[in-house]
Amino acid sequence: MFGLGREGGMSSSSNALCEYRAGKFVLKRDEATGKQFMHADKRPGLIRVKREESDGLVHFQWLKRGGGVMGAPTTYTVEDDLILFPDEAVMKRSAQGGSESRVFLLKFKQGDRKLYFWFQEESKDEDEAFVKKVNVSLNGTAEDPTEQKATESVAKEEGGEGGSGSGAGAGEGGGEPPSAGDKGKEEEGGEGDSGAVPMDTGATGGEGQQEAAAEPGAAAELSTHPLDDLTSGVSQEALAAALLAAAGSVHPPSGPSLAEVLKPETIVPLLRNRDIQERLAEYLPQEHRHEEAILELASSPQFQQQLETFSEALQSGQLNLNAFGIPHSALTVADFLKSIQTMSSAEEGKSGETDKGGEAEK
Amino acid sequence: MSDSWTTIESDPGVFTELIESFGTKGVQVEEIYSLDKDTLASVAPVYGLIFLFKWNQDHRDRREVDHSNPNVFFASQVVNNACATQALLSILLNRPEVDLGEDLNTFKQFTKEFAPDMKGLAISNCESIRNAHNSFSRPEPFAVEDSKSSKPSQDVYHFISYVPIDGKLWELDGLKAGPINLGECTDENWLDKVCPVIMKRIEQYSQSEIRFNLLALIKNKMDLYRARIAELEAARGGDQSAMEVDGGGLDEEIAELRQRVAQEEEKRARWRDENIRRKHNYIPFLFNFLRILAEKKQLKALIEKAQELQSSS
Repeated sequence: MFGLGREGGMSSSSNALCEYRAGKFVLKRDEATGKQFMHADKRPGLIRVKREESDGLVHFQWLKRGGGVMGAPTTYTVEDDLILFPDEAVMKRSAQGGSESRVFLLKFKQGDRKLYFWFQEESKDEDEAFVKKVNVSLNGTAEDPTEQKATESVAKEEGGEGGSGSGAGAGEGGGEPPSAGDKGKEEEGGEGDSGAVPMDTGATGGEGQQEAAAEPGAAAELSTHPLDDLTSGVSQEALAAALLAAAGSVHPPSGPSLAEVLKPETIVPLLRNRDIQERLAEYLPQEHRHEEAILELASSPQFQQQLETFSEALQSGQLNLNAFGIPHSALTVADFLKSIQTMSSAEEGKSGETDKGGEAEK
Repeated sequence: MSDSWTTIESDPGVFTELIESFGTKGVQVEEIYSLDKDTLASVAPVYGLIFLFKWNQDHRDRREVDHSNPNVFFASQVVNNACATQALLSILLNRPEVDLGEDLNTFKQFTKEFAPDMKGLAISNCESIRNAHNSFSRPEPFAVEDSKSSKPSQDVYHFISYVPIDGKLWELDGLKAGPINLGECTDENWLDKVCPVIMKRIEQYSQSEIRFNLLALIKNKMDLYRARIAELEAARGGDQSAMEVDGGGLDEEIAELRQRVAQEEEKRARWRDENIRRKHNYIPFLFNFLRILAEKKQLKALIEKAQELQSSS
């Protein structure tokens, strides 16, 4: 999942791969026992899986049905919005209710995260079929992807346009229309009306997108729209997003990332080892030097994110690991792990004792 | 490098800790998932809203700015990446009922007569504010050769604030030339007035955007619940016999409030853990973990896994 745009937030416009009426469950805490339990949210709702045009990614959403928002004619409100990558999660029937149950869950492969839903369509005849569609939309297959092979994500079925978002506030005067394809302003981070440029992510933004444009996959798809020709009416923003998404799907040429190799289910059993815990304690934040926190760390988004960032730098060759005795060049994760292996055996040869290892440079 | 501001994550736990590290008390930040009355009522009282969106340079805003009210604290955004802090300050410094703490109070007094660009500069030069902000920088865990291309840019996000001041609703956007007056409002009805404005904004961007994020700067919930519990207990405490007759409702409310306090505490603990992890550099941990595994002859399995994944991709 991406760092900045987290789950939640609001969106509009429907481009659904599949939809089904369903309520959700929320986690509540029982005061008497202190235990957490799943509580059915009674509101009418809708599960929608869609490929978002602006980012090309598959979103799994839960929308509140009916009720309109602040008098706007909208009848669907997105409450939960998750970007899911192939093989990240799978939907299935909750085992607890038996085969008649209409309680289903979206189970994430990493960690023990689960989201529960109860289906609200009048007839349950389509329940199974819908779950299949969800899994096909998410993972390209209806099967539970226990093996992680790179499944191709499902082809874009163009769903119905329009729908939910349209209309709210549209009639009000003084508004500026969304200016798609406004010519003559792009490339460098942009100029606001005050002339100042500061904003999050700063000046490298434009460059990154430009580089993305050079990716072969992106070029193939967009070759008829060179960046500086905006007469086609494609908004710069959407274009950049598409390029970014395309770049993302072409980019990892050099194998898996560390986060993919060091998945929680792989490292948690290793981290249960007392000796390992004790020896690693000094590298952990002071507050987190105990087993529970170490195990939690393995599946925390913050750790996963650092692994991703580290992998990116590793694989692109931007990382200088000379300090660690590892040659400076672009490395695959396998190469990197092998270097550590080699280094370790070399040390073992020299002396029985492992020294503390280099602190990473600041 | 010491002058730079880092990007920070738009997360209620991050923003709440950031405010607390300014020394400000009694407020917190919550994420708003839906613009309906119930949702907003559940976080009341709301001091101001922060709207995050993907910044769109195509967007031309022809609305007039309004400098007529000198009480409005408005600062131009002159520093890269400062907009999260700027958006928070735009609300905090415009709500006199908030206990700002010494640093921000001094800052507010100091910058009172400044023009917007000078206020912006003052923010960027204020060491305590910058340090608080930068304490949330993601750790740069390693030396990257070419920092310019180190990170494929994420999208460019911008934060703006909505806040009622002196009977008017204001939109404060540091990239604009001044505050934008959105009309009359009261402390009671300003949320009703701001919702359509935000809805319209969402609508405007909806054709090319997906990410919007709305955060509410609110009164500290735990304080609120605790004060209410004390109130109810006082009301009940006087007369034990009366309580047995009609005190059931009170007890229920107290129990409910206690439960909410417990939930808040749990959430705070989670936020604390997440923030600790956000700030910590785990690369030394990673290296040493892998080395220990190598020493224990357990690294091979991981290497094989990596190779397997590589050949299958």
